[in-house]
Amino acid sequence: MDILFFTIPIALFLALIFLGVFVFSVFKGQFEDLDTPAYRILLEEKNIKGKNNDSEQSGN
Amino acid sequence: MSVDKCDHCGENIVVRYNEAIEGVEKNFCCLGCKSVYKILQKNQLQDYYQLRQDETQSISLKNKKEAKFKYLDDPEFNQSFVVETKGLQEISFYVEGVHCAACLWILEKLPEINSSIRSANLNMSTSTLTVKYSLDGKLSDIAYLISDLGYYPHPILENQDVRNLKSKENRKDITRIAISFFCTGNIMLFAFSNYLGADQSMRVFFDLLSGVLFLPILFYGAVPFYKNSYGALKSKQLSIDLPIVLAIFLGAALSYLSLMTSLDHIYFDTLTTLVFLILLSRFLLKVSQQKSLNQENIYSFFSNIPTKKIVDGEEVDVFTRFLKVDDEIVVYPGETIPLDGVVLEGSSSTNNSLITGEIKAIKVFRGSEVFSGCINNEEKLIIKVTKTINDSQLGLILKEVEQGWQQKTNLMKLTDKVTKYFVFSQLTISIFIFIFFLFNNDFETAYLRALTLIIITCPCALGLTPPLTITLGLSKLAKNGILVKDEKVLENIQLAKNIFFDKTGTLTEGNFQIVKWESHYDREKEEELIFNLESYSSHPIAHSIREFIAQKWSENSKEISKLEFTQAKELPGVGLEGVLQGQLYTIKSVENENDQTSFELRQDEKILAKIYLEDHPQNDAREVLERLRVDYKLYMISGDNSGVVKRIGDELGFPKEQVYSQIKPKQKQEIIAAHPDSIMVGDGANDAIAINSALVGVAVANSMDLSLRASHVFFNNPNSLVSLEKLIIVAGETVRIIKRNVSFSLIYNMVGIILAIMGLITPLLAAILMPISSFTVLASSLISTKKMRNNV
Repeated sequence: MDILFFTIPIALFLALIFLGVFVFSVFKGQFEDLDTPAYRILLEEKNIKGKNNDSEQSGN
Repeated sequence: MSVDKCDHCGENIVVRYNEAIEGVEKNFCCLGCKSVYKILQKNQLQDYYQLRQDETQSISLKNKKEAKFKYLDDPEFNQSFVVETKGLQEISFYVEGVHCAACLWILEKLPEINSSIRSANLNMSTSTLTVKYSLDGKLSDIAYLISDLGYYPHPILENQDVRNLKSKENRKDITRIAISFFCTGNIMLFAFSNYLGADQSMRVFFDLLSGVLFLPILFYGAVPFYKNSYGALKSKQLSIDLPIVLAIFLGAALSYLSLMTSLDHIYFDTLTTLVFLILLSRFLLKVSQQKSLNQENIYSFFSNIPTKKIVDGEEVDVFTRFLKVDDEIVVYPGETIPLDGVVLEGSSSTNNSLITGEIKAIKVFRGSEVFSGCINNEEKLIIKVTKTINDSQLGLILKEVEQGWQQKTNLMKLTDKVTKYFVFSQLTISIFIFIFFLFNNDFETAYLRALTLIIITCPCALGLTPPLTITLGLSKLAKNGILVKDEKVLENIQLAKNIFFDKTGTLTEGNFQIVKWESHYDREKEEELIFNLESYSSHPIAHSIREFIAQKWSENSKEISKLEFTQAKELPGVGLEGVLQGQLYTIKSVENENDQTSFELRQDEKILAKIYLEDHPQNDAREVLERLRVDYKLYMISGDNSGVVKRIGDELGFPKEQVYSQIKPKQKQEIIAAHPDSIMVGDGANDAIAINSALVGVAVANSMDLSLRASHVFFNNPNSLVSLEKLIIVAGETVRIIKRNVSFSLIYNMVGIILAIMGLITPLLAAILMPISSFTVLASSLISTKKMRNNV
């Protein structure tokens, strides 16, 4: 069972990487809004080309 | 004859606003719908109509509030609401009316409609829209655009710093919990192997690893506990965190010591579990509190009304909050006076019912003092401000409301106190036990028993239960459309013995059937006049009359022409009036002999028509009232004439002496004041003062603004009686759960103390039992409130 002395630290190290990834995503704000992205993925991204520059001011 | 539906909102069309768009005739029910359709059309955003599958949600713009956003361009407003970063300005709005994916889609398409908007990001769980726009963009344009699309934006005062701080804090909390969980999980694995009999070399290895993994807990995970206890000690208080800190320190010292020597007393697993579980439960509590009603937002709605200020002889819209003493403001007839002041120009009368409860109009002229919250009745007034919003009458009322929110409920105060004494006695007993066993036995026994005692008696459950249960109760109520502005209501309801009901819209459906129409003029003209004039009223009767007329006209496929009344205003408890082509039209309630509600339409003094209406009690009113009668004495209190009130009272089983009719607002308040242990349920402007002075004031759906401000609880769904019953049940349950859980955790700790003193449990067992007790209490709160949800 001596292999455990080697594998357990490796397992710990791997787990540490995942912990790091989690903390990273927390600070990127990925857990701030859990409702909207679920809807956003359903919306098709249709680019209306040529509109972005010359769009008129509609807010009156 | 089929009824056309609006091409934007899908509602039946009463008055046509049709227009041919790209050669195709489109049907619209109102100008608002038409303008939204055109905006979408112009920007090729018609996909909106495909996305909008949820047809049940009304997106009709018929009742759209008249929006005034010019004040948003006030530099002073910009300074406190808008944040500038990287050449862009950023502001957040609370957006009313967001409910589905189509809303998300259209709101995030704002940059394609207005080029000065660079990005728009909607958070649907909080209905918050964050807009970034270029420096030359005008905030009012953006607000008008949002409101043109059928939503109502409220700028959120919360500035960038506060918002960042909040999300930063949450991120920190999550990180802390994640790291604690990482350490706890691994330490648990090692501890398990040890308990299951790992051999000596493995044991040493595992214990060493645990010791290393415990360091992040000691120096990072548990830091909030250190801070809290230190902060409390500094102000000479005992914090609930103090025993936790003691347990961590004593436990850690013992564990590291035996790590170097005998390996007999290693408690890394127990201590990490303790820290992790407490961190987790506190975070959950915080999240559920943040999720439930954001009360600050409600407050900001109230003071979001712009005011016209005179700058260099011109009227400029400014944010009321920024008005200063000696500013000159203009108040038009029908508008509410925003701040206390002195009249400089104009003579008029004011309706002071919100402040004084007196319904009679008060004459004001040059030099008269006027108060905020009063409504200007007749003519334009120019007022010099003498008090800022915080010192004004209305400000004082709002402040009172705000303070009510901040105050802790009595139950919470009580548990706070109990917890403090508890911690104190816990520490004293521990020290006493330590000294006792030190002299009678040895150091080891003394140390272990004291440690066990501290761990098992951590009063976490005690501290967590009341806020958690109250939060859960409130959010459950909110889900049922019952908004509690003041959580003390939950306790106060327990003290109430009487319930006073307003009649119209509360006990009855508020859906009036017209039973007779006495025409003295021209029936169609009368209907047009009434339909248009009633649109200035939010009283349920007005709504019903409008629906009745609209239905009749659309059945005959005719369209009602629009009449613009000037100086239209509501006469609380009486009716309303308005001027059209120089003639004063009034709709007033009158008495009649047949116990019916009736109205007269008058042109100046000439009677044009007399209308008789009948209202029916709410569907299950009888049964609900019967159930409420078991615990409460019920009264009906109404401004209506006695015949009608008597008829409804008989129908609903009110004894004669518990029915009040023809009651003026001030009298209502006096009656309520004479019964201090009462719940008042009402809706109209005439109920506002009564609602305000009741132990628990409830405003039902479609209430007037005045009653909304005055009430403690607001029902956001039409069935007010069922909502009231729910409110009473949930409030009772919540208080019961708190009491039950607090006594449970007290008993649990007592037993723990005895066992620890007798040496029957080890620190390990204590550390397992302690979180179990916290979890039992948490689970009990969660499950009980959940169960309520299914029943209610």
